[in-house]
Amino acid sequence: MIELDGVRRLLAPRRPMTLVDRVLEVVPGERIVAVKAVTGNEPWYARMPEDTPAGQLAYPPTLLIESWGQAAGILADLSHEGPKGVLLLAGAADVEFHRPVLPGVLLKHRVRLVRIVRELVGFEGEILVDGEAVASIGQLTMAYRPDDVLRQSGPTAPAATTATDRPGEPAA
Amino acid sequence: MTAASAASVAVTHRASLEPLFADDCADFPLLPGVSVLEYARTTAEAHLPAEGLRLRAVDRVRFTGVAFPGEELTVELEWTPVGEDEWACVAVVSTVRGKASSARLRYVGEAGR
Repeated sequence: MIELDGVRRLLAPRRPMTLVDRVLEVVPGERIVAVKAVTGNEPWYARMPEDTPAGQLAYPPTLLIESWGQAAGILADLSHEGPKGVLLLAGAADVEFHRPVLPGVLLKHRVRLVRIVRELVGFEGEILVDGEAVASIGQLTMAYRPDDVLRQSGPTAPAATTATDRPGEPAA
Repeated sequence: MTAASAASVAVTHRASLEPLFADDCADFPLLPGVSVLEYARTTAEAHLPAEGLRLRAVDRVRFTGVAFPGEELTVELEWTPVGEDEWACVAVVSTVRGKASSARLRYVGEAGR
């Protein structure tokens, strides 16, 4: 079990972008199970009127991906043995949202590590609420980029190409 | 916007965390990939080709270049009907340096839920 303080040490994103509350189980090189509580006090609800109908309070699907991806990132950092640097989202495929997620639920992220090829790490898994899958992630790929590459980048820099654009690399 | 005029759309934004956090992101050296995807999603949902659609899937998304806070992001959308009450949206997000991301989003209406 890794509590929030440990999660914060392992994750680069800081509040309000920290979207994992607790790691229940982790087997480096294989899998992780982590949870995140969804509440109506989160910042993405801040601009909504107090009387917003419940049906319009669905958690942003992109943040479901981000939260699940942060659990995957923890698993990557505990599994990848090569040079690390900054872990970036390279791509995803076959991500399905089965039903809207509303405040008051506990998301359980199940992530399985599928492959590590040099700086690329691939995952699959699902997001459960009360034992029912609310989203499934067929494939998500992250890439470690050197810290100094990012520091040298800037709005006037040439396009930074992800590792998945190199010929011969597996598609994201 | 009518269904006919929603088939192809291009919208330019000023990149920030605003779609998610009502905030800029001065402390972020890069715009997170999820924020780039959120620009694609919110732009698509501001230009839906039919009423009552909800995001069912991200069939694919690839991040091929970085985006920085404060710069312009242009989102180009192409809507295609793919089934009964089901639409695909190809969303390409670009900066001045070229393509930053491309995604295929799939939306369904009542019949697909």
